[in-house]
Amino acid sequence: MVSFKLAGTDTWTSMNWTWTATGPNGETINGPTGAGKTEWKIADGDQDTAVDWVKWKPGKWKIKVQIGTITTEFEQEIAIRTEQYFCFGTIPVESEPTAGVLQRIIDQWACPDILGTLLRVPGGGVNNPAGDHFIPKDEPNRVYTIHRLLNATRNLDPVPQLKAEKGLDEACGLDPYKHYRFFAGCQFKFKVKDNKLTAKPEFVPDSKADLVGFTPTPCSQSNGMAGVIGQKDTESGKVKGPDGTSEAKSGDTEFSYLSKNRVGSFGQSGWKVISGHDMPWVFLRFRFETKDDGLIDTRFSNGASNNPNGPDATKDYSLVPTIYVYRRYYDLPSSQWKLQQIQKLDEQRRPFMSIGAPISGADYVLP
Amino acid sequence: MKKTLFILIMTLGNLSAGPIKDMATNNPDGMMNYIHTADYPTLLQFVQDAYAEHLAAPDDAILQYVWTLAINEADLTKQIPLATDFSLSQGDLAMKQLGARAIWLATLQGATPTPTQKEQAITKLKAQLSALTTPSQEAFQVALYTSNALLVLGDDAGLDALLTSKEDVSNYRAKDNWTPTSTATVFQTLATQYTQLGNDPNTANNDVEKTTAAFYRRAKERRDQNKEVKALQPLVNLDQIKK
Repeated sequence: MVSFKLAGTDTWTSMNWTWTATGPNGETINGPTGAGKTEWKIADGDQDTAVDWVKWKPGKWKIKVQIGTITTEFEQEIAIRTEQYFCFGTIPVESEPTAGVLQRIIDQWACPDILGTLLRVPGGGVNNPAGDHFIPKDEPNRVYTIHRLLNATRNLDPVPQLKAEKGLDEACGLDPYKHYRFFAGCQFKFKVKDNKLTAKPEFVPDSKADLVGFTPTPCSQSNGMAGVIGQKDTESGKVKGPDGTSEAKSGDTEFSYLSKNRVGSFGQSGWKVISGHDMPWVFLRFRFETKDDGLIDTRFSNGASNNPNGPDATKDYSLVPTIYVYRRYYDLPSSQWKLQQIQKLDEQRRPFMSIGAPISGADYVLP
Repeated sequence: MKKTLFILIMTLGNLSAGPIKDMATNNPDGMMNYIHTADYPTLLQFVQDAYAEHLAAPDDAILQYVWTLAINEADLTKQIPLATDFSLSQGDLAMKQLGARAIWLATLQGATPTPTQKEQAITKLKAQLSALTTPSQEAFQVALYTSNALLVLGDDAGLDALLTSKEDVSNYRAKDNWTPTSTATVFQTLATQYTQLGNDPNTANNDVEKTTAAFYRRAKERRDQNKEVKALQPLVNLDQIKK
């Protein structure tokens, strides 16, 4: 909802008021007319208050107010405000393929024995054929143990815990130790001319989040007292132009906001030892176009990216984890924040296990 | 039997004498047993030693894991003193957040600290809150967890800090229909509603609901004392500590 009024005129209710607005191309919009119309309130009154904003062409408008015989004018710059969006990545439980897996491996990688088993991983003990925790160098056993790494540190289902009334900087009530590997959110305001940016987009206050979660201590999610924090990429949280690499600037027709993270060093180390691949990054890129609808333009339908280092030209999100994308909006009739799920992008674990760069000299490299 | 006991004592003696990395590498199973059976002072010392080794070799993956593992494996009765004596005593914000969070979570899960442990925790949490002056996302997260910990421990400083978040207060006022001068009965009713939600089997472990119940319990206490439910003398301003 947007309103225009003149300061100190609340009591001028006996006067006749006429409101008009003239746009950058000379178009005219008529506002309220009549006695006591001291305010021009713009709200379309329908149920979908999430889009209950001024839908005037962006640019400089002249607001003209006639009060009795007196006329006054002021300028109003109309910019664009995107909807508020957020996403979070979460590790669910997946079934573990056991065909061809040694029973000893299944036992050693079950809760709670996995806690001690993991201590043997970074030092390479699991790659020593003479060791009692050796993982056979074949696909079934290696894939199984990676599944166990992920399942033992799974996140609790975040969706029932989402609180619309909690802000983005509080991850809408989600717990970084329990519910997400990363959480990112944004809402932008930006000025355009001829559908091109006239300046770099700005975050709407309190509408930015770029949070990295923790890898829970295995088998501990019910208490979740501690965990190992993930690694955030230096490019995460930045606003980029259409090529996804340079900063968004005047003249661009689209811009993006990237969240890019991966597990901390303990997880990276274990991943390398078992899979023989470097740990891929996980990410989602919010895209917005400068046409005046403010809706997200991330290319969900293109599928997940096989690039271990970040989004590519056409694919905006990683194979892992499962990523949810939501819109958060303020519902005027109920005076409450509400959430709308936009996408759920299910993880694809098996290809993710093999996309990282092979480790030079690794004992074993998962195909 | 005596021989077995002697061997166990010797094993523990060797463990506590050597560097944590060696324990974790050479006898991981013994170390796990040590963590699970140690008394509080021994566990505290182990965590402090493990963290010190981690700081000395921050890129060592095993050392990054061990001290968090030890904290996580401590039983509920040790969580609040461990957080107070270890996590809240560290200088960096991540550890302060971890400590405040552990106290908050352990209290929600039913931990019953002794009066002395509780007082020590409250004193450190308040000092931590007062010391937050430089805005950053990390400082904001620390302030939030510390306020929540104080809130569930029953200290008014937690409520006072949370009431500085204009957006949160506005949202909850709109959602739950209250004002700073609503009657104590209004807040009592809300506290009861959120307690039920927090304990509902379908929303079990719902920490936010349980914390909101504590928020309204403290608000009810304010109204019993004829004080308004608004920030009075906050130790930190959540809106100002954000970046």
